[in-house]
Amino acid sequence: MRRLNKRGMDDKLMFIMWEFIVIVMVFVVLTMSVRGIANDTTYWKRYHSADLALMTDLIIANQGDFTINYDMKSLRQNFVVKAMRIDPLKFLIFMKIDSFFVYDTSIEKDRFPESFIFAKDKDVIVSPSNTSSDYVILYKKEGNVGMGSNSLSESISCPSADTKGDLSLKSFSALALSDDIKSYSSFINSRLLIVGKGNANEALFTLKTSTTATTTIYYDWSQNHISNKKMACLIQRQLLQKFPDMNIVSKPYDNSLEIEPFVSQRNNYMYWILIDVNTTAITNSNISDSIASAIEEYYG
Amino acid sequence: MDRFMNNIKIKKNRRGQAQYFLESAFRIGFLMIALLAFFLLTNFYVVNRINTNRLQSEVTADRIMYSDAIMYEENSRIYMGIVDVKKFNDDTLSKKVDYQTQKHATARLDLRDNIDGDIKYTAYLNKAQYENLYVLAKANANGKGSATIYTKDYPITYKNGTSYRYGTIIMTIIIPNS
Repeated sequence: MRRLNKRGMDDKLMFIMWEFIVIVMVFVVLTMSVRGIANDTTYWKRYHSADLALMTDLIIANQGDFTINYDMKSLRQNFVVKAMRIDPLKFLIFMKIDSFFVYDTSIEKDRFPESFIFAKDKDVIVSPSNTSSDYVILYKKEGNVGMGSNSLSESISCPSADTKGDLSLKSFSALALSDDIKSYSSFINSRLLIVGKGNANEALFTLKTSTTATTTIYYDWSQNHISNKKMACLIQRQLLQKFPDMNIVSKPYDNSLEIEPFVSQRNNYMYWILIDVNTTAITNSNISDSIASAIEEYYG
Repeated sequence: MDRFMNNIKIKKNRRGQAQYFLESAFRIGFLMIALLAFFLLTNFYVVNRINTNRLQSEVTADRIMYSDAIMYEENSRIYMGIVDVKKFNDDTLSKKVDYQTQKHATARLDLRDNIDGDIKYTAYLNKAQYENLYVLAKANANGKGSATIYTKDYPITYKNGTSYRYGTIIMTIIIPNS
């Protein structure tokens, strides 16, 4: 009888071991299945391609300049994500002339990228581009639609007021509010003589030396405020292209600098801009080039 | 005697084996059912499809109504809500809402006068595709290859020459099922 019991125990042990193997197999299959589901990026590819395309649809229909900072889906890192070895999402986005293609770069040859079509406007030009950044910037600027991944400060969107004009009829002046910045105003005046060759007093650029590291461009908010804001914004954008890391802001004038001859001179001009310049970083040629380029963009 | 004992041994072993086999079969069967339920539930709840049909219809409608496609324009300024009947035609719509492929959103716009209730003007976005999909959608054909119809009404003023009249744009948008 003892021999019989031993045989029974052997058989039972075999069953238990077999069951144990099955449990291990089930655990592995379940883990792989969950990881596969978590790593499946089909949904996000579809989501981003449709979302970006529908947004581009609205950007194209919009009349003015437009910038959208679009944050891509990111994966939160936590214990489960690390334990399951779930890959972070990485997408390569192609903006074509009529559609968005979203590829999953973690798949070596993602043969079936998700795409979504947007409606074009025959008067609007779409510039094809691609990016693999964590966020994309969709923009419309003067009838051109594009996509990029520049830093946010470089993608300032200025008011889209119609300010086209004939520069040959207009004149521009620069005025220094203190002696230490007179070299700047004379440099700018000589540059502005080339830009505007007319007699009509159009814009006055008043300069002051900043006591801080910030360069502030003040614009008149009391009249023609959108046009003034556009001019200040264009100068700011030009300066930021030269000094991307510098703190350059534009804001409405707050009556804090009521200094002669600024007060007496400003009413002689259609527009005026007051620039509080950080002269330690920005030279007279930098600022004159920026103002001249901004004027050409403003009236062009 | 030995032969007798061997017979008993085999019988005993078979009984033990059968008992454990039945127990294991039940456990394995239950495990299989649990696994099947897991895969069915995950496949059921994991969403991989996005239905953007309604959103596409809204974007198309907004694209037409809140742009310079059919609205009155003067000195680079667009007057939203005032429809210029000179622009209310298929050519302007296809120029302003230009889908490079035929298989996308289509729309029919009827401009109804609010005083006499007559449809004064009709314009199509992608007319050929509209007529194909309209038949399928009205026949209640579901799934890929068919389409879904959305209808929207917009109260507007329409400008015909120098006269302004109250009207309604009845927009029928058809989005192909994806």
